[in-house]
Amino acid sequence: MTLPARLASHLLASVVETRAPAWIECDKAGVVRAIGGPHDSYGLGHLAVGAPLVEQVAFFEAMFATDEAAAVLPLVEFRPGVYADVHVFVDRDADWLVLLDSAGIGNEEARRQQTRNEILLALEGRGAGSAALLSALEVLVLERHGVDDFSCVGVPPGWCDRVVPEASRFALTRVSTFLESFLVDAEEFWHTERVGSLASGPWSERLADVDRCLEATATRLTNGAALLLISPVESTLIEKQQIVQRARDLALEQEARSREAEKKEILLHCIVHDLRSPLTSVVASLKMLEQDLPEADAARFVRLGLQAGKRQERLIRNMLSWFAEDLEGLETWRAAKDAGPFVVASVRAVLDEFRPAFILRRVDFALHRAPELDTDVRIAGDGLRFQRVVANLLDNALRHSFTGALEEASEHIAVAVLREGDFVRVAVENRGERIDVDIRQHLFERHFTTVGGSGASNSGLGLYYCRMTVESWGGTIDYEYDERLRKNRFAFRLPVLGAEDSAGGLASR
Amino acid sequence: MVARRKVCMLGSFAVGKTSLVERFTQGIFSGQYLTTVGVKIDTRDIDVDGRPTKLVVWDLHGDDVFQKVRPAYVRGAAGCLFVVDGTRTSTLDVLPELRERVLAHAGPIPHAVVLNKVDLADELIVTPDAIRTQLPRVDVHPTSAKTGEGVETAFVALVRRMEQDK
Repeated sequence: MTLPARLASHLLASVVETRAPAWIECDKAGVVRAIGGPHDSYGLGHLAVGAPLVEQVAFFEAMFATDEAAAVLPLVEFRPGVYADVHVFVDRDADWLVLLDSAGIGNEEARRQQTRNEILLALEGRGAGSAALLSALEVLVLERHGVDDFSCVGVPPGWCDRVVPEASRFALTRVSTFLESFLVDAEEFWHTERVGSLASGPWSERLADVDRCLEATATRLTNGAALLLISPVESTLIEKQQIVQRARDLALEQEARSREAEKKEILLHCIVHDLRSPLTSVVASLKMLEQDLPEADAARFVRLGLQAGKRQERLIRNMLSWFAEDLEGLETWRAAKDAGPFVVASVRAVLDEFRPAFILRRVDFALHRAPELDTDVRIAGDGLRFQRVVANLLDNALRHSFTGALEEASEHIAVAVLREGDFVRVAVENRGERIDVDIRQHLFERHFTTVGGSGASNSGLGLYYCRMTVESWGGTIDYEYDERLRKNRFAFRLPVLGAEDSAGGLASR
Repeated sequence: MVARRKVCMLGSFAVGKTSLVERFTQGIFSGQYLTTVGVKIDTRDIDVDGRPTKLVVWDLHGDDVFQKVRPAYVRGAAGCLFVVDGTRTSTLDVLPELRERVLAHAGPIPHAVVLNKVDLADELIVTPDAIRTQLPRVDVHPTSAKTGEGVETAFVALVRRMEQDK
């Protein structure tokens, strides 16, 4: 190749400027004939003309042992940190050595070599053995040169063919979306010069059209080199996945068993509650009959007691089939568009059932129906369970109500039924001590026990049942206390039948 | 140029995050529950209101005692979907704390709740209202990874929110 004169001149000037050329001319006997250039910067300042070269620098002995007219020995280290590419020219009557500075590349290569060696030593220190281990482990070792500027250390393992660019330096963020994110943490780790390592955790990503399961670890060697190690973790991932999977399967089974046990517990509560309510009414009616009552009142209590007794008989007769259906229906209920209980009538029926018990305990009660509420309004729910919710709240109110004369002219217990847009609101109030703030937060939780003026009671499951039932129909339930009137108020809202879809009740769709 | 947006899928284990991603990105569903370890990254090009977007979906492992979501996973996310299993209330109970933890690291990014498994109508016990009670003012999207119901809608709605939030 013949270079244009101007280009040759430019290249020569560039070499002279950047590579600090020094030369030594020897005769065929190896005696130094001439020296030129900054040879002292290569540690050759002591060279003298007229003396054999190898006697002055033993290092050069093998330099001319070549049959070629020209040869290059790259990256010769003349002293620590000083590198030169040595060009050898063999002429007819003289031999020439030309030294071109290559300290930049030499030092960089030395550092990389050091890094490689340190990794190998570190691995050997763990008893891992040989240099082949890195490759055998299929660990891709990348050295960081700057922000998102990496190069491979050693030969990349086979799995990352096509994943890692062939360029000696590359941007890792172009390789993987996950690593793009992880590098933010890695950069912080490398900058803080923390010891140890930072692991990414396993990730799965499609790289070069192949699904990979990998894990990255950022680390720093004692010489300051920042490394990123990337390992395929498919096998360990599968192992870990199996362990976690087993644990989670067990957790799911446990959850299912708990739900089943919970349903049965609630059903048991419902059975007890449903049987007890009419019995309470029967007992209260009988107790009232012990008193010397006018004939008309006595007849009324006989009628109430009889009604309650018949209801209990009916409950017992139907219980098995009834609760078998309930077990499935407890969590969900789908309203037929023409079904659903009449709210006012249902509330009144439950109040009637409680009437003897209220009278016996000298508790005044009342039902307040808002004028705008039609008596034929129905809610989107099951009639029996709706009455059970009201009964639970009334039972709770009765147990925690003040008794005897009140300062204000009002009832001990009141049930208010209101229409609120597409909802019906039923509020059961009782005059009594407030429930502590700490307790209020957990009122509707499972196994929670309310504490009223007369001490602890076992209505917690009842309130939990109320919440579950009301929420499963797309409603809500809450509690508040009126300080002025010293009144507890439990209230629930339920979508009116036909309006439950717009109210967002998924379970009742 | 097609915008790239990172979306994270979060929630308790076995709620159907991976199934939702597979349904959304590949249109497939596998009924087998296979727990995710770490992160799975998938992509889908989507056109919403004439704007092409490459969604990079990060399917994060279920958050529980065995695996905790690393803050780094949600960094740079443009939006996220919190997934609830409609048949398990426990998956809703853990959501407020998880949401707080995630938004603390990701910032106030657009997000929504996906109420998954609505095809299991007989077993549903979590309602959209129950979710709104726990997380007021958060969009709730009923979905079924099995039938595909609501899946596209949930992602598209999130992308719209992300576009508005830019």
